[in-house]
Amino acid sequence: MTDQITYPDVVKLAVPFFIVAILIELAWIAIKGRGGRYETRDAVTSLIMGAGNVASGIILGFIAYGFFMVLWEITPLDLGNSWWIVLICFVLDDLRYYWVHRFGHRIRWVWASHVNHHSSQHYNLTTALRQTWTGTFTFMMVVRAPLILLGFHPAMVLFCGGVNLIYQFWIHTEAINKLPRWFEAVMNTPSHHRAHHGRNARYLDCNYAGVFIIWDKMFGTFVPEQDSDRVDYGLVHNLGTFNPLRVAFHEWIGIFKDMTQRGLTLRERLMYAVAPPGWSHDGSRKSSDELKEAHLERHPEDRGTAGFS
Amino acid sequence: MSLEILLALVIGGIAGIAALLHFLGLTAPHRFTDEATAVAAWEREVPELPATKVSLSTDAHAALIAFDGGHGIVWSFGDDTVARILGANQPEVTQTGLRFTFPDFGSSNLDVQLDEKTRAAWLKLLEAQ
Repeated sequence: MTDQITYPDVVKLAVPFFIVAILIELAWIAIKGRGGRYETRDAVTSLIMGAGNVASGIILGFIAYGFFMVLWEITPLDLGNSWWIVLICFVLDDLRYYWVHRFGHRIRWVWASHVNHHSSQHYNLTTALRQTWTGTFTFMMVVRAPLILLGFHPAMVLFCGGVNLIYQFWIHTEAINKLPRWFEAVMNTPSHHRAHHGRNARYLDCNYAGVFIIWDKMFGTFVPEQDSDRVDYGLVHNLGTFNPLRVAFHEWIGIFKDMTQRGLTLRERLMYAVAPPGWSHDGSRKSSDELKEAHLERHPEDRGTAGFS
Repeated sequence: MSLEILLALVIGGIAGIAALLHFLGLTAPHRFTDEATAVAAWEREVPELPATKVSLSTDAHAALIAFDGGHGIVWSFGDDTVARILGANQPEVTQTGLRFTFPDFGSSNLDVQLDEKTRAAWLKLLEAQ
């Protein structure tokens, strides 16, 4: 069994590229006067969240890696290290990403970690780096278990996950409109991912893909960006703070407050953690499905169009 | 990549980008040009509660919104805006206006600049709810 495989930590190696790409995007916007917006505190908050994400990986990464190595000890399978195995691993890990991302929007416990990535009202390359500090606590590492049990080495799986994240960096931009049709059909693109970051009712809970948009098309969650419905970035209820601690932990604190309210049944307490964001025991809040329905009541002409079918 | 180099890149990168953005004039906060823009910002975030009345703060960075059954506030947040429905808690009076605190951890305290006349009007409106 292959125990000692090493792959480069591609996310750390990409940090200089991230900085240069941000400067290029900023220069493009400043010179052309279009292609996105930057605001100092928003961008700094995003960058601090990115730095914190790397730090949390250094501090807490051993938990997921330890879990993966236990699975690697258990499994009798070893697919080796050839380039085509890495390629298959990359595609399967992208499928894994799709589902983790979908859970991240449909299970509040996981949303509590992922919400901060959506908390900027801007959409530029710094938004890509606005990443969670609390991903370990979602326990979503279990979704990678099948890959390792199938015989993909943990280091290879993590390498593929890193490449996946780097791919997703460049799609966080308004500077690129639409790419060639064949590319838009198969790959996740700035256009598809802009829709994913929309707080418009139409775009809620769509386009979960990491690299290949085909997963959304296969599982019925694809919504193309509409020229007639410009994407409004951010959260349904936007944050009123640039404080990174509040950005990182606000939804966890919200869950705690909701679960510890007086007079709830055990099921209701549990639902505040695992139901989709917006669920409430008394119906005082709206989930994304209810927000879409409320939008259609105000705009019945949208019924049956993309995102409302 | 060693931790020292990574740290230098991250700290230098954040500081450099922050300085560049500031010198490019991208720190100036959003300002409501008139009451209509404040209402539009409110209804962007709370479309189910249309505004019936609006009052801009003295510096045009915030606006008190009345809707059927209550009040809310919309304020400039960087280059964007944020809105919140106000509960029963009254804001704190400060030397320069009013301070609003929110029950959700996703909002910092909000200091609104108000001259004495506007502050009195806001307090009267809020007490009436």
